[in-house]
Order: sequence, then C-alpha cells, then structure tokens
Amino acid sequence: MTAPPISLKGLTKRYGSFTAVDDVSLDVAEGSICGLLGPNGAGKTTTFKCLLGFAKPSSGSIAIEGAPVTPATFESLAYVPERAVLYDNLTIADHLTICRRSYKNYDDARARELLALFDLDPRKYTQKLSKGMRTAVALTLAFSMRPRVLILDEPSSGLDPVHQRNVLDLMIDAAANGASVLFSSHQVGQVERAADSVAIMKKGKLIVNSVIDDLKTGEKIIEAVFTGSIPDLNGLADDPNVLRIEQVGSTLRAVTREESDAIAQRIFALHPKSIRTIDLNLEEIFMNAVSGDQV
Amino acid sequence: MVYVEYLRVLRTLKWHVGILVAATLLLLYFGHSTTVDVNGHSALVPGMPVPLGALASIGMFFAAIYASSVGTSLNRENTMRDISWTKPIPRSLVALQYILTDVAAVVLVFVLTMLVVLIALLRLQFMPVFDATLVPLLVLGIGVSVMWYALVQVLTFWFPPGARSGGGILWPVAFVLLGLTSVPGPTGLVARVFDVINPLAYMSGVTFNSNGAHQNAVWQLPVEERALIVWLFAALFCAIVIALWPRKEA
Amino acid sequence: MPAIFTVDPRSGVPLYLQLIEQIKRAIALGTVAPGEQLPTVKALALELTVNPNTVARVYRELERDGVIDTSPGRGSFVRTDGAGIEARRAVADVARAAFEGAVREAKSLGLSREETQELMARTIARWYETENDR
Repeated sequence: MTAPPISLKGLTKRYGSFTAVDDVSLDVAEGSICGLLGPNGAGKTTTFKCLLGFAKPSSGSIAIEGAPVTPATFESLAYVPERAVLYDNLTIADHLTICRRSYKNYDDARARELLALFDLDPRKYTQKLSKGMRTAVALTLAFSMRPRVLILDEPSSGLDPVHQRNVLDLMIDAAANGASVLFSSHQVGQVERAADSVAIMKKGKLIVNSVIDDLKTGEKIIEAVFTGSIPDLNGLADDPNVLRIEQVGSTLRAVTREESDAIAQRIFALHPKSIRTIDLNLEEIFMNAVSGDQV
Repeated sequence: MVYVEYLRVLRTLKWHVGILVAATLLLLYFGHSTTVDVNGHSALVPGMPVPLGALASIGMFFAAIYASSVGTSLNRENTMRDISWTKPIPRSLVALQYILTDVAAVVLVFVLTMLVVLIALLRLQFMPVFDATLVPLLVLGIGVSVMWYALVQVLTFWFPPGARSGGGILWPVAFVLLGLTSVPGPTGLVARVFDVINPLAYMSGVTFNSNGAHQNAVWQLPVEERALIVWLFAALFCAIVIALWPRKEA
Repeated sequence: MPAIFTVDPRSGVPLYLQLIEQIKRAIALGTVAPGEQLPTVKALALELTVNPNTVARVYRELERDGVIDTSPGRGSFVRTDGAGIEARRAVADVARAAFEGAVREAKSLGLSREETQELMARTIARWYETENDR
C-alpha cells in the first residue's frame, strides 16, 4: 500500500515554551480533500509551515508522496498562503512567466483559462490588486502547475461568492483527477461541500480527524420538551456519551457522542412531552468541538 | 528565479544608468579644456597625462552606491519566501542566482562609470594613460564594490524582513572607521582591526599635491594583493549568505 | 440528464444520503428514465460542487441497492429492471418518515388521536382531490 500523498505523524512544533502544534497526525489520501478547521491561533498555519519545510518541526515526521520535502517535491506540490505573496513591481503576466520557467508541468493554456475565470487582466501590476484578486492570482499560479498535492490556507478569503464557488470547483476538479488537497477555512459550509474528511484543531491539538459522513452520523442532538420545568437530570451530564447539555426554558437538548439510544431512553424516562433526534451539521459539530472543555 | 532578480535589477539600473547618461550629455555639451591652478602652479593642464587606473575610485564609489541598494535583495526576498521557497530549485541555488545577477549589475555600473570618466577626460582634453597599473586597479575597484555588495548582503541578512535602508547604513560606518584608523591609541587599533573588512580601506585613494599624484591606502600592500583580498572577502561573505539564507526559520 | 439535484450542506443529513434519496426520487417520478446514463462522478461532483468521493459513494450505494449498473469505461446507467421498484420503496420511506414526523409533532403539540386523524383525512382529501389521483 502506497503512502498517502500528505502524511503527518506526531508533528510537534514548539517556539520556546509555547507549543504551537502538539502531536498532530493526519493523512490525506489521493483524490481526497481534507478541510482543516479551527479558531485563529489553533496552529493551522504553523502546521502548514512545517509541511512546506519553512519551519523545522520539534519532533514528528512529514512526508509528501511518501518522501520528506525537498526542492524536487515542489514540482508537484502547490501552496497558496493566507495572504497571497506576490512581487509588487511585477505584472500578473510576469508571475506566469516565472512559473513557466520554474515548473515542468506548467500549463499556460490552463493559466489563461483561470485568469479569465477570475476576471484578471494579465497586464495589471499586482500592487494594484485587491486582496481577493491577489488570492485569485495565487490560485491561478498554483492550479496551473498541475499539482498532485495542494495545500491551501483560506483560499477563498477576500473573494466574492461566485469566485469562492470557483475555488471549490477547482479543488473538486483536482481531487477528481487524483490530487490530494488539504485546505483550511473559516467557512464550515465550504468544508462540508468540498471536503470528504475534516480535521479540527484547537490550541495546537487535533481534536477531530474524521470522514465527514461518519461524523454526521456519529453525533446527534436529542431534544426533549417538558411540561413545566425540566426535572433533575440524575447525572445525565456525566454520561461519557453526552458532550453537552443545554437547558432553555422547558427544552432540554443533549448533544451526544454517538447514535446513543441509551441516552434517549434515559431522557424518555424523565417523561418529556415530546422527544426527537436532530442530526447535526458540520458547523454545529465544529462549535461543539471547539467550545467544550473536552479535548 | 533569475528572472525575478533580473527584472528587479533592470528597474534599479534605470536610475543609475540615467544619471550616467545625463552626466555624459552634460560633459559633451559643456565640457572644454581645463586648467587647474594650485598655489600658483598649474597642477592640471590640457594634454596632461592622467592614468585611468588612478580614477578607479570614481567607478568604485558609483558602483558601491548601486551595491548598497541592490545588496538588500535577499533580505527583501525574505518576505517572498512563500514564492521562492516553493520552487523545485534548491534555496541555496536561488540565493546564488540572485547574487550572481546582482554582481553582474554592479560590475556593469562600474564599467559604465569608467566609460563616462574616460569620456570626461577626453572632453576636458586630458590624456588618459593606459599603463600596466590599469588592469590591477580596475580589478581592485570592481572588487571593492563587489565586496561592498557582499558586506551589505551579509549584514542585512540579520535585519527584519524588508528593511529598506539596510544598505545605506554601511556608508557612515565605513567612513568613520576609515577616519579613526589614524587616531592614536586603542580607538585607532580597533578601527584598524575592523578595517580588515572595510572595503574602503583597500581602495587606492589618489591625492594630488604639488609633488604629483600618490596613492593612499590603509593597507600598504601591493595593488595585486589588495585586489585578491577584496575578491576573497566578497566570495566569503557571499558564501556565508548562501549557506545561511536557506536555513532562516520562516 | 434533465433532473436537477441540490444538496444542502447545512442539513444534518450527510450529503451522500441526500443525493441518494434525490436520485431515487427522480427515478420513481420518471424524470430519470430506465436505461438512462448518469453523469460521470467528476461531472456530477463539479455540477453540484460536492466532493467526488461523495458522488462515488452515492454511485456505489445505488449499485448495491440495485438501482444502477456501472461498467468501467462505459459509465453508470439506470437499470431497466428493478430500479423502479427500489426507487419507489425509497420514496415510500421518505414519505413514511415525513408522516412520522408530522404525527409526532401533532402529538407533542397536544392534539388528540381523533384530532390528528381528522387532520390527516382532511389533508389527504385536499391533495387527492379527484379519483384520478391514485
């Protein structure tokens, strides 16, 4: 079995006494898109820096296409940073030229297509572009080199909704052709559509790493409405399968870790007026994961 | 990545070449034969032979000024690592490409300046002399500018990314050091020690006085040896940067 | 393929389940005909802006449920036999779930059995107006 194109094992990065990335292990398979979610400062960008060889890990290993990162890796590895880095005094066309001279698989026709898609004029100086357009240029450069591995840090920031959809389509197209994509985003809805697996980081740790479909079927809310006030819960909150309890008026909501009929039964024993199970979407799963004190 | 630095160098060269062209035009238009009197003697008269090599300092200064601005190229590239460190080219090779492009431009500025000097001499109706000292002095002059460039590269390596004024700092420091070398006592000693890596210390300054022209240099070594030393230092400083720049933690 | 599918990422239901249901519904209603070719995984993923593995999983499950046939190189086709039966069964499942939700809701709102039955009968009468509605 070949190694997954993106593979992190026990990655840890410390800056002095501050641990930015704490024992993160993550694999992204061929043709797979992994969405990396997490609050600001969770360690996502530092993880990317280690992946690209910009920062040296304190411990753990990184492999792209089964090997450590070397200059040759970048023939098939593309990176789009959060704030697009471009040479201010050059035009967009100049940047395409740089790519043409640097990468073997650079596809100029594709680049022109993408420039048109994002409504970019190649003669413009990058200094004059808005943040979203700079991101669009960086995306054009990244996808034009026909990469097999893509690492994107908030690739749709600054873009209008139409172009944001285009970015998702580009990622999906790349994955459909066998590329491996790891992208971070603050837009949970985007991750939900485009990604097949999700990784959630909080304070440097990887608290969730799962296929999205499994996550959705594995977490539920059990909602019960009582006549009058909610009775004593008999320690329901301490059940290991219960992530969180919310009580608003006569409504009790228990966020459960698994399809837990046992929890539903316990609540049913409290004689609610009505009881139902609600499926969680990814945004709710994410909020539960990062707001709880559980790690 | 040569292409990036090549474009940048072209942009910065415009200014310096522009000044040289303007100077040339002014010379051609306004220049005429000149006499300079010092203490009643005619120190410079038309037709007087002037060894071109002795004026290498002029080329060196102008090229060193250019070197100050272009010597921050790798420091400036620190803000662009997301581009230059994600190419299928070893980072040390990127650094080397930048340095070679920059050095070529510095040499070009030197050569162009010396051409203007030559035109000036002719226009002012002096007689340029191409003697045996010419080549060593030119090599020394270029070498000092390149050493200046290398020193700027290696010093600005430690500056925060994108520091623009980095190159300019060296000028006052170099001149002050040079001035302090003749001060007696420990100050002068320290200054002379630092002058080992002060490019200006190696330059042959030419002063004219009533006895003719003679050369000044802090290090009283033959021109050929000084030329060799400055190039060696230039290579050393460049090698240091090429070794360290790829390892800078992002 | 004339049918238009949409998925709602904000729903708690996994996208692949949503898509399976929609395709079966389209088959049951006849908007997708027996023998018709489905788009490639890549094409459908791009059209819906969903992950290709999601679409791949949908096609695998549809094949497992006997609704479509996939031959490598040729593509995926709606089966001419049995697809309709499975589709109608799936559609009936959806209707059943909707009913259960409605009845549970009515009960939790405090309606009695008789009130709920009356409500249901009136609603059925309204929607199945003529004898032509089966």
